Parts: sequence; C-alpha cells; structure tokens
Amino acid sequence: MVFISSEEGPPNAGSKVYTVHYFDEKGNMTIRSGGSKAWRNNNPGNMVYIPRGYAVRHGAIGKAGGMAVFPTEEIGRKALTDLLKSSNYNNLKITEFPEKYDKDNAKEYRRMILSISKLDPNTCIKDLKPKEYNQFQEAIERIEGWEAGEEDFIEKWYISGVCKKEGVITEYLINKKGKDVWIAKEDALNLANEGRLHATIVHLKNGTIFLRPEYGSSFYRIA
Amino acid sequence: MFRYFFLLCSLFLITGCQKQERRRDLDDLNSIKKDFLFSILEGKVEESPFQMRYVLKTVFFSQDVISLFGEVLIYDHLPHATFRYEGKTLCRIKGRLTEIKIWDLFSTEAQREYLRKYCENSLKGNANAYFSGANPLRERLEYSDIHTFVINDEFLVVIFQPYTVGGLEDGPWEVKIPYEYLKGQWSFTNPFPALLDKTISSKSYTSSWDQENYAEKI
Repeated sequence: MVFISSEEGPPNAGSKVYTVHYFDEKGNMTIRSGGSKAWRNNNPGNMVYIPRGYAVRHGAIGKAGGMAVFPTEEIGRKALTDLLKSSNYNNLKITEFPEKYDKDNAKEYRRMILSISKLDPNTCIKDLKPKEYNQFQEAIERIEGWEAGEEDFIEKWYISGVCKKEGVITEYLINKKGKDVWIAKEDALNLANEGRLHATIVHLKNGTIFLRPEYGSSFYRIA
Repeated sequence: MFRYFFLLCSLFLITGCQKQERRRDLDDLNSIKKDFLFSILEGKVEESPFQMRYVLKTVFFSQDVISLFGEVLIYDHLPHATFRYEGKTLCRIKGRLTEIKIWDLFSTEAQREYLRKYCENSLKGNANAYFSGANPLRERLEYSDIHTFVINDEFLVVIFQPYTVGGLEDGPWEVKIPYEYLKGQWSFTNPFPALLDKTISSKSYTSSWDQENYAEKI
C-alpha cells in the first residue's frame, strides 16, 4: 500500500488530539490516532510543512497539526537525515547542535541528546561514524517523541450493480472486501458523501440525486 | 545586495551594534524579536515563511487572583518552530498584587516532594512522556523542571517547557492537580490558597484554561 496524499482529521470522540488520514492510490483511507505527533505524521524530526518547501521536496504528501506528513516512516527519516547532513547542521559539534536545532530549548535538548546518545559532545556531526550517526539521529527521534497509537483501515468500496424499480434506482450493490452487499440508495449516498465509495454524486435540476460511476469504471450489473 | 546591507545596518542600529544572546525570560520580548530578525536574515527561501508570535491571556481572572498564560512561538529555520511557555499568577495581599511562585505554595520539604511526586507519577502514566515505557528516557522529575504554573477554578496546572518531560506535541505538557488533592498539601502560611478558595466560593471570576486553545498551528 502506497500513500499518495494525507489530510488532518478531526479528533476521535473523547480526545483533543487531531488524527491523520492517509489515502492510497485506490482511495482507501488509513487513520492514525493517538500516539505521538511524530508517529501520527510519519515525521520523526517533526519537520514543519511549507507549501513547495523542504519537506514537500523530500516526499511529504500533506500537512497535519502544522507539520509535514510523510507517506512512510523511512521517507520521513530520510528527510531528517538529509537536513542534518546539510551545511546548516553538518559542521556543528554535538554540543552546539541543540542551539541550532531548537535554540530556545537548547539546555533541555542538550541534556537529553548527550544522555541518550552517549556521544562525545565535541565531535562534529560530519565526523560521526555511521554507527555513531545512527545513535545521534535515534536520540533526536526519541527526544522528538515516537510512540505508536491506533491505526484503522477504511476501505473505499466499489459499486458493482444497481437495482431499479420502475426505472428508478432504489439500491446499490457494494463490493465489500470481495463480498457483494445490497444497500439502500440513501445509505449509498451517505457513504459517497463521506468519500467511502468510488462514485460521483450527481444532483439534477429537478432535485433528483443519484450516483454515477467514477470516470473509467461502470456499474456492470443491473437487477 | 544593497537591500541586505541596508537591513543589516538597520538591525545593528536597533540593537545597539551588538547581537545580544537570547534571553529565555519572555519578559524581554524585544530581545527575542531582535534575535528573530537576525535569524531570518540568514534564512533560506525554502524554509520560509518565518514567524514569531506571542500570546498572553488570562486563564483565571478575579478581583484578587489573576493567572496568566503566555506562549511564544518562533519559527526561523527548519525543522520546526520553537516554543516557550510562561505562567504568571498574581494575588492581592494587603491591597497589593504580588506574583506567586510555585515554591511559595510548596515551601516545606514534604510539600515540595508531594508536588514533585504527584507530577512524576502523572507523567509516568502518559505513554508519550519521557518517563514511561520499558526503557524510559528519564526516571526522576527534578525540582528544577517545575517552575511554570497557572491556576483555574478546578486545578493547579503545572506546565513543562518543551523537551523536559516529553517530545513535541500540540501545546505544552501539563499536569493538572485538583484542589481537593492539595488540601493539607500546600502551604498553610501563604495566604494564596485561602484567598483562592474564597474567590472560587464567591463565583465572581472567569476561568478559561483549555488545552484545545493551545493546539496552535504554525
């Protein structure tokens, strides 16, 4: 499953924390809730989202809670690696790094990064050996916060047929995980409205509302 | 080129020809503002737009007790904005508004330890905090981590600065302590608890602490 876009979703009932909706190429939705901000956004460095900015150029597919959303943890991690290896950070010593990374909280950040990474504070980032560099970036990711929460998968269903009575559609045949289920037209409209059906809602001038197959597909079965 | 030179000269004039080290105290907003201006001169387009924002609002307001919460957000380079929080609680004693510090309310060793332990246990129960999990990043909350607080009509709210007790989240890390848990635990000698109790009983106040207010987007 490859996520191609994302958006910020409302908090779950009883929570005040936003959710993140990820969409794959088939329109299926994965919802991440709870956990840490970095985990919800697949963004280990908590990198900010700027239209056409750094995160977007490094693979971000959307924005939630002001931060970039990356399609995978690996892509989010790579974006952080590239930033840390850029000229902005590469020449800094470990002990100088917090002053640049989050200068208003440098004292707290320095305390955490030195205690977690166990690296020599006077080593330059560019001089870190691969294993040491991993220790360094892992420490940053732990400080930023990486705690998994809940993940829910919501499939976007296809309409495979319609039932007509006296020429008017009354029911739609939905294919749910390979199983055909008839549902009333009103329910189908509600599902389409929530973006959970591969169908377009059509409003006629006479007030009639119906569903049309998405471009390039068709309802093949008419009962 | 000339434009940058002109900007730089202007900034030197503003700052008295020397770059001052940023003070963490949010009372010195001018210094923070100057530092922000210096930082964005070195900024890159791909990291912009930059912003600095300061909000100060009353969390609790009455004739005799006032509690304010302040937040500064500065985004001047990647990866993300930096936040600092402040709490100011004032109490009218003998006709004068006096600022109350957290340790004025917990003056004895036992009282201080009660507050520290309460906060630590509360944070240990939060899966996202540095104190939780199989391999916690921190084992013990220090007294020096506790300094910022506000009050509302139900809780004493201890606020933690970023990266002291947990990673980056929407809004500050906080521990809310209901007043019933503080009975007999905070200072008897300080007039503040009694005055707060009297104010809440009078119902002549506004109280507006709400975490949702701090889910600010940058």
